[in-house]
Amino acid sequence: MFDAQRSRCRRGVGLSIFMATGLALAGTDAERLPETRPLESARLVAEKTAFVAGNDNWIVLHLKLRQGWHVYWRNAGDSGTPPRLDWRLPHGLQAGAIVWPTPERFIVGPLANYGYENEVFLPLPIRVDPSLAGAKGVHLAATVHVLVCLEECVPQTAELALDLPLAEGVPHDGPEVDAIRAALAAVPQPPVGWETELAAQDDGRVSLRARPTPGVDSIDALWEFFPYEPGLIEPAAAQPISRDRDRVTLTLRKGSLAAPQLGELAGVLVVRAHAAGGRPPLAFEIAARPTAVGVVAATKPNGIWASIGLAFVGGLLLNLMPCVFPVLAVKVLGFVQHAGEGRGRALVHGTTFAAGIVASFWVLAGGLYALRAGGAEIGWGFQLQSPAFVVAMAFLFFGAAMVFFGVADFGNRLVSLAGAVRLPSGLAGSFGSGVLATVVATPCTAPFMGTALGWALVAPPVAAFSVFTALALGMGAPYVALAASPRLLRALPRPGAWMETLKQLLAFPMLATVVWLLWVLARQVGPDALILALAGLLIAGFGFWIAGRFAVPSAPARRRAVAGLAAVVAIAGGFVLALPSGAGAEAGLAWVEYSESGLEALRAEGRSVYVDFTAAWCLTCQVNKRVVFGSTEVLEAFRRNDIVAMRADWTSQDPEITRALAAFGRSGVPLNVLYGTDRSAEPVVLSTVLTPSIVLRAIETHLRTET
Amino acid sequence: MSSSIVNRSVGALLALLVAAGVAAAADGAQVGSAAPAFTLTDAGGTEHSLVDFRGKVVVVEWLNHDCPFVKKHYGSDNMQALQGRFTDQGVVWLSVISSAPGKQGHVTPERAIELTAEKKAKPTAVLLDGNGAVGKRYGAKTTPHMFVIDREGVVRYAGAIDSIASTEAADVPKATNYVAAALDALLAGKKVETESTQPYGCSVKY
Repeated sequence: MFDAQRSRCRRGVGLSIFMATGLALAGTDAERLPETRPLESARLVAEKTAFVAGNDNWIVLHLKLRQGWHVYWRNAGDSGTPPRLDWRLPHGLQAGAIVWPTPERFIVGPLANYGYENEVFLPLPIRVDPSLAGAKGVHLAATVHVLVCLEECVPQTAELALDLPLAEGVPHDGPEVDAIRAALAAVPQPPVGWETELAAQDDGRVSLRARPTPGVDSIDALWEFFPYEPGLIEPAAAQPISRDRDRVTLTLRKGSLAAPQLGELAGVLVVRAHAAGGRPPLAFEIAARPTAVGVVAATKPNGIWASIGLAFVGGLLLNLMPCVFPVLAVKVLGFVQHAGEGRGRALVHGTTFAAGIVASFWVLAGGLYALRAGGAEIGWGFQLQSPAFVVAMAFLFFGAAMVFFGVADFGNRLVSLAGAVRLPSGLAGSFGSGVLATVVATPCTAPFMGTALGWALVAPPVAAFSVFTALALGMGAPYVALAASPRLLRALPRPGAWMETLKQLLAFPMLATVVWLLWVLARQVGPDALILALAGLLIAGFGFWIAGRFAVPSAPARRRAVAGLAAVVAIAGGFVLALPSGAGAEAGLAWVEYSESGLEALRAEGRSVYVDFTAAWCLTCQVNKRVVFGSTEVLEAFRRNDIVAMRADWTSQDPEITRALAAFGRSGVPLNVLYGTDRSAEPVVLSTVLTPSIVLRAIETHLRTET
Repeated sequence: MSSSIVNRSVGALLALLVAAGVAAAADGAQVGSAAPAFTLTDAGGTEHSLVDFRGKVVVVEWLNHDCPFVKKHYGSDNMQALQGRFTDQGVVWLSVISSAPGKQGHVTPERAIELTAEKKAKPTAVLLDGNGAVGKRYGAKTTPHMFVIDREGVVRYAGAIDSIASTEAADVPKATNYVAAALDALLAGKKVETESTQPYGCSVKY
């Protein structure tokens, strides 16, 4: 930036009219400390030699400070305030906000500030109303208030002015255009091809996780986060970094104004090369949001014990469910009878029965992990942050509520089955009946269990395993206790209507969780998706009602089948409607099926190619498709730049596509890649979640420059 | 598990509902928690402990008379007016100077007395915290940085003196004064509405 400026000075273009000088630099301390005027100059500089009516015209506020002094960024950090402009503009002119270049962090003892040292160019747009076309020129005036600090601070003000003619045609670059372009280039850009998220948080800390594309920078660099909002993150706190393959996690200390659960954290993420004199730092404007169910699943090290405790209580509660409670007394009495030898023997039976329960839960957990590992094998991640996962969880909880309310009541006959099955007496029999009790309890526990299973899909293995074990122990504990002391049986309430009341009551926490999940969904994908999800739940609710009303055992088989089918269609249909995806409107693009040779041939012809690696089961892909190719601007840009749209459909495994994904370091879809016409240039990898503007910007920056 | 998830989810939901405005700093004086205890010597040589003021509403103000932000509030008579108005109602007002020796704002006890007289300031006491221990314990970041403590010793407000972060005295009448609002609420036995704000000013010169 400085070099460019010096060379311009040597060029000596004497167009002083474009360089308004800072007049009357005044410090409030000027009288007492005449030597302390650390703001050496302040001026406004325009990018072009004239303004264009109807346009945003870029200017910069150039502040030159005494060596070592600094001014502040938009968030000043622990103290200080950013520079402020009070404009006096003629009618028809409007000054936009400063777009802030990437700041530095200054540590002062236990405190820290964000700002710029020595010199800074702060760009901002001036919008000139089209009605001003034909006017001769404009006069801009402003008072700038600048707080300049070393350790001590001096507030200074300067009167600024800028006179520019209005251009008839296209104006020339001004003499200091390089400085302005350099300043704009120093403004953080949105990350293209990667995302950030708030992985976990508690009262004091929040972890900001990024999964940068290899093209962005090597992971092995210095990362630093600057929050936009003051008070959310402690500016002086270290930001310890941890790396896990392709992921980088910064642990940030929360500030005094941060909520226990931040809904969003916006700011600038700076990536610096380790070695001095390496690449200039990269800066990205990010807005990280919590991983959706991660808020629930975020198991703090000290929280795991609470989870285990709660799971144990939950297991105990399972015994009060209508399908389980009546079995309890019968089973315990059974132990006592079988074990005529005495109380000690009954205890052994009870314990073995509990072991059967634990074993069943372990099998369940094991199966789940097999599924999870298998899913990972085929590149299928169980992503907490995926809106589809949140919708699925909402449906799960909603379905649980429906069952608890008794709207639909399936499988209660299983309970009577329990009594019918005769197992051999002895310990094997007790163990077996423990397993059977778990299976038989399914109609009542399934709504709960489904939730637990969903959670276990994403929780750390040890946590999920411990919690499952605690749940099983909780369910088994009463059998052990009662077998040890059968007289306690008399203290138990008689099975009765209260069990149904309890079950119905439990529907409300389920619905409360649905409310919360929908809130998460709305934060992720917006109000439209929320309405679709609510409509989907409504339809699913109708499905549950059909099931409960018509698909009853007393109904004729035919009616039962029809009603059952209708219920399944309604529930599944509601779910599909609620999923934040859908068939995309992609009219006008002739998609070409992907093949290595086909891509190679097109590139040999000098065509640019956009490859969409997708799969029918990949919801993000569907959303991308709908959002991006539903945009007429994108379609137009594809046509204008003669881009071939190529689709690599990975719905069923395809070795050729798997190989191509691996070449980009990916094990799954979505992946969107833009190949330019220049065959020697690297293809551009776009972000996983796409918007029309991301695609347009990629086309703009990577195809335009080549032509 | 079942109810673990349910409880956690419901807990999370409730937490989200009440989340707004709840401060959660790892350390420092936290709104809603007991104010950290301290004992400091004032400019006249008298020791004051926070615990001595139990039963009274206490304001703790971080002070550095050379800081332009402090000058804004003393130059406009804003701070003195607040001190007078609330000490008359039985509020204890403690101005704490945490500037380290050699740093801006550090003063001898004599100079502190002179400055108080010069500015016609009306605090209950000006406390000298030259090693910055109390400032750091409170998490005081700026001058001014204001804390309001209720009669039970619980922090009820922490943050800026008012809503306009500038050095211009002209902004004082336009701003919402958070400290006055917090004190009025406490004295009336009401809940403080704005409990926590981002303080603004010069950094405390530790």
